[in-house]
Amino acid sequence: MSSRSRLIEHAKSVILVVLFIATILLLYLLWGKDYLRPAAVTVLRGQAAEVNESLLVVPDYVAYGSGDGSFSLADDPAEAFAKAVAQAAGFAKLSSPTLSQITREQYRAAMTGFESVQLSFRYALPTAQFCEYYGLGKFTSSDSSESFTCFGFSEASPESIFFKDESSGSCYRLLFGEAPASLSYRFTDAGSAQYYYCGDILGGKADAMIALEGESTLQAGRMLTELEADPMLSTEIARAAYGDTFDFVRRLRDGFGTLTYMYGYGAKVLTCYTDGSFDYYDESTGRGESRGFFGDLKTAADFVEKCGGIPKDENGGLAMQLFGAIRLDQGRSSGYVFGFVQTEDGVPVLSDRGCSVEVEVSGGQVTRMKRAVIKASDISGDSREVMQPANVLAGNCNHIYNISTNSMLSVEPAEAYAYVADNVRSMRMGLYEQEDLGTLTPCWIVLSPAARFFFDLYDGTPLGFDLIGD
Amino acid sequence: MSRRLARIAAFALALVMMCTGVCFAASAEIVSPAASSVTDSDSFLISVKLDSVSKARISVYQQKEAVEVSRTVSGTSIKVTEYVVPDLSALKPEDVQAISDLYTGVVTKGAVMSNGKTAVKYTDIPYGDPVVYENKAEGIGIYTKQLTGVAPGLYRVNVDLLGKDGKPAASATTFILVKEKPKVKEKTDLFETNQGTAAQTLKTVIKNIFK
Repeated sequence: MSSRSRLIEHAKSVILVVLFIATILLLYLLWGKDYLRPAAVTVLRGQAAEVNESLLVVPDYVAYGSGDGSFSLADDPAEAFAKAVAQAAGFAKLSSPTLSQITREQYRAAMTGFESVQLSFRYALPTAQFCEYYGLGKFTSSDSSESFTCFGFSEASPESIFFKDESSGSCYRLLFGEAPASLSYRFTDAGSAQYYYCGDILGGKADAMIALEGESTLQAGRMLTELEADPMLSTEIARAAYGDTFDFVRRLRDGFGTLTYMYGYGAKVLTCYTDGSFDYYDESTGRGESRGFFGDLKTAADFVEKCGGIPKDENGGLAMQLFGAIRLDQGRSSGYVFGFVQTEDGVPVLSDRGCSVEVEVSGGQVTRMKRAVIKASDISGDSREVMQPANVLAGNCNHIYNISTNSMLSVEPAEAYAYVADNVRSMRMGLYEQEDLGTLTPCWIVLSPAARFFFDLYDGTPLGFDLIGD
Repeated sequence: MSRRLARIAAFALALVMMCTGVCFAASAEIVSPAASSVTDSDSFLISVKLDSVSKARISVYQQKEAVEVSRTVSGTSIKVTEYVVPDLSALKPEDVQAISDLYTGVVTKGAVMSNGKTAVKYTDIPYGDPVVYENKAEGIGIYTKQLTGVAPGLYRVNVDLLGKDGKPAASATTFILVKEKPKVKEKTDLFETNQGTAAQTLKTVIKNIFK
């Protein structure tokens, strides 16, 4: 064989090797990426719906303390939260801080006895992930304080950021060498109503922030379930939830009118109840890793937006807020159960069933979603004086005590009162959904360690309750 | 006859006891301000708890010192009594308690206070109009009010539980000292007590090891 033909044979061999490698690479690009991707993303494929999950994280309240034990609440908690984060970022640029645990009494004294600002959330936020997500850098030892429900600043120690975790009762302060030059204890406009710690008014230890008195324009309104408003919603949610596999989904309707979409042998089930609620269940546990609090929150928010949509207000903003978050730790798969609540006129809409939307994210994918969203109308009227929060609590202390302690035995009013004065965690205005009547009733939402109570906003009569456990 | 009288007397006694029981079944408690408290703010919260259907009169009095001064009226010198705010800015909660004890009759002789003076009873000068609050609910009722723009001085918050005849059946009282608001609040020792205790440090170390 001549050297020329030998050269051609070598070139052929090289070309064959290159083609072989290229084939493997192309096959990897074609299949490999989908194979490695968690199944949740497959479910979400189709009409991509991106949600800015940070818009769902809104404090329950932002309280400006005037130093005499009274507080006023920010009109726009979301705006105040953004400014508080910017202030915290100013701290992060300073020298490395030291973290020290303080007592609950010290935290309370710093917030009540001095000019202060505190932001309270209804759920625990993981400290390290919060700092990373909002660009606050990594505070030294910040991981020692695993989570928090409140953070704030106080004139008692201007060079500190204060944290409190309601669930564990722990309080911390991050002490920096100095305070930022532009330190402020008031970020936005606040309402004229004066708030106090519940314990200061009733004589106990409860940290709920309650107003002395107040007014509201809320009135009893009407509601429709979103299925009543849009009968095609079941099909839309099913198409979104099953994506490309929708053509292989069985559709069953039982005698009560409940519609069930089922893929495989019950691997993925979507049940559409006649009361307008939906229940989606994916039995496959997530193969991927949990993406942390904010990553999983994004997964949940995107899924909700895709399957039925996140309710919007008249300006196109999100009319839904994160209301609760529970960390899941089940062996290999971990994640969160997020509870979202629909808002109308800026107040949460709740019922005995709990949150409007509940999403379980496990191993990086959505494994369950419960959804019961409504359309409200005629909920605003003339401004009226509401029943004083302190008297709502005092007048219903036996009811709160009996439900919270799971005891139906009669108890001395003084004992029930002491329980309420020590244990009420939150008291806010809202709307109570009475689905059977198709009405929304303005209410006080009172949270105790074991239950969420609803009392009429104007006369304080009990409307219902939702057991939540601790 | 005497037996009948005894029966009537027993019945009357039982009736009186029952009425007294009804009268005093209700009670009033001043939740805020806390007993003998001191504040450097110009406002404070009044919170009163009533135990059952009852009516209470809530009054606030500023404590003033009666001073006799000479005044010349139409060329004649006369003595008049004026009420001035005593300088109590150096007092501490225990001093306020000493004044309170004197007022409520716990002690008859005033204790020596931290400013070196002996605690005395001052004159009640009404601070604003009294408020009558009626708890119409069967259960506990709460009266709340935020007093704002309060001048420095010693104040007594008094609650009279009113009987059916409108007269006080029982009373509760508490004192609060309002001090001048400092322009710059002095550094407090709020966090000096339990910073970095050994137990906490150990807890943090153990937590980090097993993380």
